[in-house]
Amino acid sequence: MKPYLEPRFLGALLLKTRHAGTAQGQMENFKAPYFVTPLAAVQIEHLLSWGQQDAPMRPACQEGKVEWDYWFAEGIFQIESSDWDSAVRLARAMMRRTHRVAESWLVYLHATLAASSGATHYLSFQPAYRAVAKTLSLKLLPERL
Amino acid sequence: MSGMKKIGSREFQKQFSKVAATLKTGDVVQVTKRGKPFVQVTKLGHKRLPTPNFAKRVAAHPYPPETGEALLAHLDEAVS
Repeated sequence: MKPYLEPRFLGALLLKTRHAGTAQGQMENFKAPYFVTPLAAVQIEHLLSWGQQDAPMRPACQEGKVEWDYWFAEGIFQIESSDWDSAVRLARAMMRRTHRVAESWLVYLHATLAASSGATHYLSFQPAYRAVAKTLSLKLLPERL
Repeated sequence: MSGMKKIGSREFQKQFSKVAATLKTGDVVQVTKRGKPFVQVTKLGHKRLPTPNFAKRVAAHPYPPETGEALLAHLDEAVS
């Protein structure tokens, strides 16, 4: 069993949100270490850096950065290289044959990165991301939102 | 070390596959020769890391959950 942590789910492990307890429960289904794609890492690191420019967000960004660095130092999170060619090709194919394309292209790319990396489960709280991952036969967690 | 398994060298050679199948990561088997300890064999493998408690750590953060959620909402906005 290999989980794919969609970035907002990943963020729920790093920041205080109402999803923290649910996210924790889902992670207990899987053995550490947990892989993180370079794309998700760029998104999270950009968010935590960008947000520091905004005073109300700054404490959350600082704490989130501490968590991010801590879990990598502990070996709990590990960056896993991705098969970009396969993932991008599949994402483009999916968008071409979709009648109603999702607002963000990341919805497709994260699902196809998950599929091309051999993930069995797709962990996400976002309906749009989950819907695309489901079409690639990835098992969704949490099972229900 | 009282829980350590002991086995004679001859039996160890003959029964290696069966003995190996019973071992968990970190288990040690002492192989004896003429009744005396001769070598020790340790089952190697990846020990499972305990599930990290993400929720406990983030619960201690000094801001409300709404702030964390508002911040995460920017993940998609930044690229669409």
